[in-house]
Amino acid sequence: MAALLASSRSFRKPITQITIEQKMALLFALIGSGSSLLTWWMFFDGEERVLVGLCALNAVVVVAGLYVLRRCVMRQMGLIRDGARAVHAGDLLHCIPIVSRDELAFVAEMFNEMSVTIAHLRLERDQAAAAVRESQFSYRILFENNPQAMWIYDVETLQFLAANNAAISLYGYSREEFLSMTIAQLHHSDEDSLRQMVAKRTAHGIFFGTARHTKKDGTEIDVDLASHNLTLGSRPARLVAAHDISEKKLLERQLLHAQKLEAVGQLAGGIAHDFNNLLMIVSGYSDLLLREVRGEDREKIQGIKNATIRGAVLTRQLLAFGRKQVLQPKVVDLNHIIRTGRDIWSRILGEDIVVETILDEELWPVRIDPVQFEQVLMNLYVNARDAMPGGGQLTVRTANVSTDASASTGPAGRPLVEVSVSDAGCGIDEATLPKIFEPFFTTKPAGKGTGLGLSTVHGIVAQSGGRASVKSKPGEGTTFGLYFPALPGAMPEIEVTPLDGITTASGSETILVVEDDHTVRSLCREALAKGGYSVLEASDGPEALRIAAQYQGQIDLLLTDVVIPGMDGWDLSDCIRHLRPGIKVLFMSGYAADVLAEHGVAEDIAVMRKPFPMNELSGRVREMLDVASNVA
Amino acid sequence: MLKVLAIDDEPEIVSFVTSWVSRRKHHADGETDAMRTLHRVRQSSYDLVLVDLLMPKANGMSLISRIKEISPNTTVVVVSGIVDQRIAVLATDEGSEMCLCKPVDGADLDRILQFVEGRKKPVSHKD
Repeated sequence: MAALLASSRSFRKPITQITIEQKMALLFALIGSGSSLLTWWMFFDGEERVLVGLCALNAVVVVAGLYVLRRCVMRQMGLIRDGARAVHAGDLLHCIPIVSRDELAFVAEMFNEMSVTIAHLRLERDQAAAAVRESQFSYRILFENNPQAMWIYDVETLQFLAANNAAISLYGYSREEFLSMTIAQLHHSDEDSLRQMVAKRTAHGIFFGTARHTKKDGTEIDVDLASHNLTLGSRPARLVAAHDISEKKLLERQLLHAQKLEAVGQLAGGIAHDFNNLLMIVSGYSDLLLREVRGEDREKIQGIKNATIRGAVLTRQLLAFGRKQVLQPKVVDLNHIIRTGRDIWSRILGEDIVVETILDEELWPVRIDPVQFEQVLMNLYVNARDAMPGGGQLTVRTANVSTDASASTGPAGRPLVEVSVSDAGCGIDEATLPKIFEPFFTTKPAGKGTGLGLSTVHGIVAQSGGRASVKSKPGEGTTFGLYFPALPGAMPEIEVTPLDGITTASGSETILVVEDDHTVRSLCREALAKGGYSVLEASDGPEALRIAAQYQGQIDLLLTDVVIPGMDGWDLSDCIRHLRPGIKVLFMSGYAADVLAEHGVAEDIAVMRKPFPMNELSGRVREMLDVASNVA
Repeated sequence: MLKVLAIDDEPEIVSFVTSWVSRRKHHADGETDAMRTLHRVRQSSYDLVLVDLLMPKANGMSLISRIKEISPNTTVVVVSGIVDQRIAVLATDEGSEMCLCKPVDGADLDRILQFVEGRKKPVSHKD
């Protein structure tokens, strides 16, 4: 009964919510119950009728109750099922309607709360993923795309763990190569000492300093380093940022070098003036005494005189003068000097070297000592010849340019005359190029080059207010460019012929020239022959001895290099002096030490320092021959 | 025979140059005071004046041009403690014919004398 009441209540109360299905079920139940009522009235009577009626009523009530119960449960279950489907489809905000107050309603409520919780978790997950993406983006900006080379390495294995794009382009290794390397390959040192260094830096934490690293192509670079500790994948590591300071270092070195040279120059200049005055007094009085004194006192005075020569060599070295010079600057046409010397130089340089001149006929005059310009040309020609051992073309060009075109500093548009000497030789590598004008720098074998040729070029050009430059690549030849301040409109003073002009010091004596360098030997022969001397030539010591022994006539002077193949120049002079007593000896030497070691005890031996202009050679030869005749 | 004047603030240098030149049978005067140089040049015409550039109370460069103003045919040779191309160009601008760096010895003086004698010859031909 209670169930019936409950069901009737459940039917009655939400009557507006009763569906058509429920109404039909009620109608059929009423019809069913009407026919049953008729059957029951016809077949039963009395107590039987009451009993059966009660049973039937009970059955109806139970069936009706079960039906109503099933309907209610099924509805809530359906809603929960729909909710689960919606959540499964991703609609976490779907809310299951609560249509009952039973356990199923509780389940639905829990389900709703659960989906809200999941929605929250998903939101958090999405936010975290966005943060990761942002972090990765920042990482790319800060590390990968950082213009400064950066890498991370494992502190224990020294293995690279990451390297950014700037590191890849700076060092030349690919990312894969970096990741297969240790930092020892950059430092080019053994791993043990590197480990000790890394341990120190790790203990210290942050490190700032400089290092020299080696790139993949083998070139070395100076880098500024900053590094600090970090942990990557639970392993101790270090993040390093490197900045290439090679160019800065180079400029620093150049500046230091320039400052040093300037300081030395100022100091030397200050001392040299007074020192040269003192030297001149000592040297002058020694000369006067040498004219008056006879006997062994002459040797003592000669000793004093020699000391002044050493002193003069010293001050000239300090002032970057290679030799004693008489300077006579003139307004000259450089084309004329180049053209006049061309034939002589073609002969001297040999058949293998073709000298081509491309001269600007409208070339502005310049003011320079023509002998010095000839000296500059000689040094450049010889240099070009030595760069082309198998022969080749040597090109001399002249042109009018302005300051802009020569890319030099100073007021723009200043008229300059450019003289360039190009060879088709082996070229100069990048490392050698900056040193090319440095004094005592030579790439030639010992005894072959003085290391002063090109520094003399630089010195003379700079003293003329000009500038010397060099362009070269290995295998593509070398071009030396000289830029002199021009005097447009000025008239060249005298037609100067430096090599042809050697007429002041002449004679008819016989001179034996011993020199292994073909060019220098030819040049000496040309100059001496022009002066009227008979010239015998030898390229080494034994040949010179043979000539000295076999030559029928008199040999008045031996002109020899100190360094010659086969024997020492000093020994050669001793042998020849023994063979031919009375022969005068004039040494040529590229080394200051030889000049300083000049014995000088006898007036018939002298040393002249290479390089020297040819008129100086004739002058010295004449001087020696004259001194000898005076003594005689 | 040449008439030579040597100007240097160091009396020993003047003494050496005049002695050497005299021994070569030329006439030589010496002067240590640059201020008196011009007076001497006005008094007698010199073939050669040897001048130091750095002297007390005088600028050797301007001294050259003053000497050349007074006596254009005089050869002026610079004999100085420091001479390079730049100084040589300045000195030749002022009128000097030749520049030598000290120490200048007897042989150098002979070359200078030879040079001046060589210059004198064509002039005498023209005359």
